[in-house]
Amino acid sequence: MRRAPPIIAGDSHITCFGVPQTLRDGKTRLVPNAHGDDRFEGVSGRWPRDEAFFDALGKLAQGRTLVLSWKGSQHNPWFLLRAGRAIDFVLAEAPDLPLDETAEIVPDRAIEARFANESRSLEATVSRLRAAGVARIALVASPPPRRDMERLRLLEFPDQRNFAAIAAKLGLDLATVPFASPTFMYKAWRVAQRQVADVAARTSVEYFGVPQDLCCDGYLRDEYAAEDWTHGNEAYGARMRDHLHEYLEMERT
Amino acid sequence: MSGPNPYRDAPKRSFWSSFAARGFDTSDLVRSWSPRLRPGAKVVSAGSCFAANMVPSLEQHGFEYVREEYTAPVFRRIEPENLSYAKFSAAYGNVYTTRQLLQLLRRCTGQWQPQEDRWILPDRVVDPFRPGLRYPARSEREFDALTRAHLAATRRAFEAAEVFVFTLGLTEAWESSLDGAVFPACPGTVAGAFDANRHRFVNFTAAEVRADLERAIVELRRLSPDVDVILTVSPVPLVATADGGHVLEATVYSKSVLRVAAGEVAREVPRVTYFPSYEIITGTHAPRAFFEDDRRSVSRLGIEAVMRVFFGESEPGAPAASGAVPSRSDAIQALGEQIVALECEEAFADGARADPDPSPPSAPAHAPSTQKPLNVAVHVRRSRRDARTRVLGLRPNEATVSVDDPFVVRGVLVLTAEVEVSVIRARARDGRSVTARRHLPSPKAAISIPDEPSAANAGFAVDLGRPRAGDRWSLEAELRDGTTLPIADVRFSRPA
Repeated sequence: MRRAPPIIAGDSHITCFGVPQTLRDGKTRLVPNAHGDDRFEGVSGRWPRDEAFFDALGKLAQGRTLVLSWKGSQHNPWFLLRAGRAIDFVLAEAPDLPLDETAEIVPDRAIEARFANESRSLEATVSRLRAAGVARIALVASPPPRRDMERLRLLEFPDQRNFAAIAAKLGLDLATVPFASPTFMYKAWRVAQRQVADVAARTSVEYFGVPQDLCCDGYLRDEYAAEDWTHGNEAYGARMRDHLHEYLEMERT
Repeated sequence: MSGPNPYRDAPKRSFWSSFAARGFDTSDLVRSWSPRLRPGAKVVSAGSCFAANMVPSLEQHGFEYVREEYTAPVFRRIEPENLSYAKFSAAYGNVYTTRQLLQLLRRCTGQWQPQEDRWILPDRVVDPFRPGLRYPARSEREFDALTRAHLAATRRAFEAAEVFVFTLGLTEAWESSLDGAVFPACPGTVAGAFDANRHRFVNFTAAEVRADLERAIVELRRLSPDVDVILTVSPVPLVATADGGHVLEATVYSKSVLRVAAGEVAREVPRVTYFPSYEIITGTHAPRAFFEDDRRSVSRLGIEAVMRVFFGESEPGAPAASGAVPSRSDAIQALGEQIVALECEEAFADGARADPDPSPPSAPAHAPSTQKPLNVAVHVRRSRRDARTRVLGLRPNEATVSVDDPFVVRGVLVLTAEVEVSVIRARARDGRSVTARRHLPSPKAAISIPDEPSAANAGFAVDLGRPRAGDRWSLEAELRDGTTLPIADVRFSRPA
């Protein structure tokens, strides 16, 4: 008998995996993979995610494998645009990465502390899902940042609420708003991923990072970037599904 | 030769009876004040915890309190630093002794490097001179970077100072027997471990405090030659004494020494003023309420009394309005948050579109419609794999469209010189195909692409006809070399 496929669920990064973020009827339920990949199913539903969503997810994923994509963009709203003087830090895992000595050097722990709330929420959610009887949980990393930050200025939303207009409402000229350096964003993303991995270790679930072939020097390859600041595109989702499938099958045997 | 006794012509303020008669009014305590201490002056301060309490008042009264560390917005969103590390101009924390101040100045100018400069613990590297940091380094590499940055920030702060306020706190200290480096706290209390072979107790004399203070002012004026210095003595008693005696006796000794040294330096060194905060709080005139019940912590009332005298003599400016105008950095922070939140909504919208539409088939395109407008989403799909093109200015702007009107997508495709478009078209899932009206050169050819000077622009307009719920169109460009580049997807859906 065919095993029930793993379920992919979580926040906005699930869309590139072919999982709708929400459904027209607003209910939380199992959905087939929208990109036609029958190796996975998804759970879509209430948005923004709340306890009711995760309770429903726990029931739907009972006895099954769940790939959970938890938030994952927290480094962007807080750090991508440089509010004030540039900051930089020595990343504990990779202290050899370039350090901008002209920036305000802040402790790695201070960056980590900025993500502490997300970390606590994730830990509580994983515990809730485990208590609901989810057989296996893999926390999947979010896409790394891209290297070409300045290109982000040119991006527009599908419905044309463009960034410059948003900036103008705040009294800013987007052309003069400084972006953080790619290296800094990469480090900040690494700290966020470290915390997800730490939660996985503390709750005895698995952590699945971004495979190297999707990255170039740690940054997301251009061909896998969606036309926004944050997400991977469908090609990224497809490659991640391949890697996840391989990993989950290998680990099962 | 005889004459009138010296008290006869003394001003009223010189007599205790007059002081008592005026209800112990301390507003005339300060006789002459630095002319540089005025609103707008760049003020740097250091000293004991009492000094940290003065900082908010300085800022509220319009002084520019120099801040070189903990300025990043990230620090406003996390648990605040311990003790006073984030309160002073740089993150040196409390500087209790004049020796500590002198050594800080010499360290930040690279003249001196203490031998016992770190305590390595399993989970962190502790700075002996800032042992209570909430966010200590994880590695020696990080410690070196943080310390280097801290000392550079300290130097910048001192260089910027137009007025330096230093509050002398203690005479008792613990120093390294290796080189005399003075720690702000006894090793083993806040962090680290006490080693009787390496750590020794010192209780500085008035002469030593005065000498250190004079040397410190010399060092400071090398960095900021015109800086005016205001000295105060902290009225806060010692937490504990290590001299074996009673803490009260040790406190009085310590404060007396500091008061003498500060007074002598203020008399002898140009542009150094003594400000009597110690006297205001601890004089026999002072109300009991100037201290909290532990008779050690200075109360809010006491601090306000000190600051009233301080500003009474220094032309206080209007208190700074708090949060009236959002700063540029706040706006930038808000922009980042809004854009990413919107992007997640876009993913939300994408997700909704990925959901098979359970709604009934829409009315035929030619029939007059009474239906509500449809949602439209235009999603740029240009392949990142091909860096030769870019889509700019895809339109329409509206999020909803009428089902009665033809829907036209307009855009500009930016092309590099080696790319030539033969046709731009839209294909529907149901097999329909529409060719774009295209203009080369585009009316928007004036668009400037700084990093692609050779780029040309291909303006296009594609009429998709009347929209129907569930319609999905893919826009693509066919190139002369036979390859096809996706441009965008257009999807219509019913409002939720």
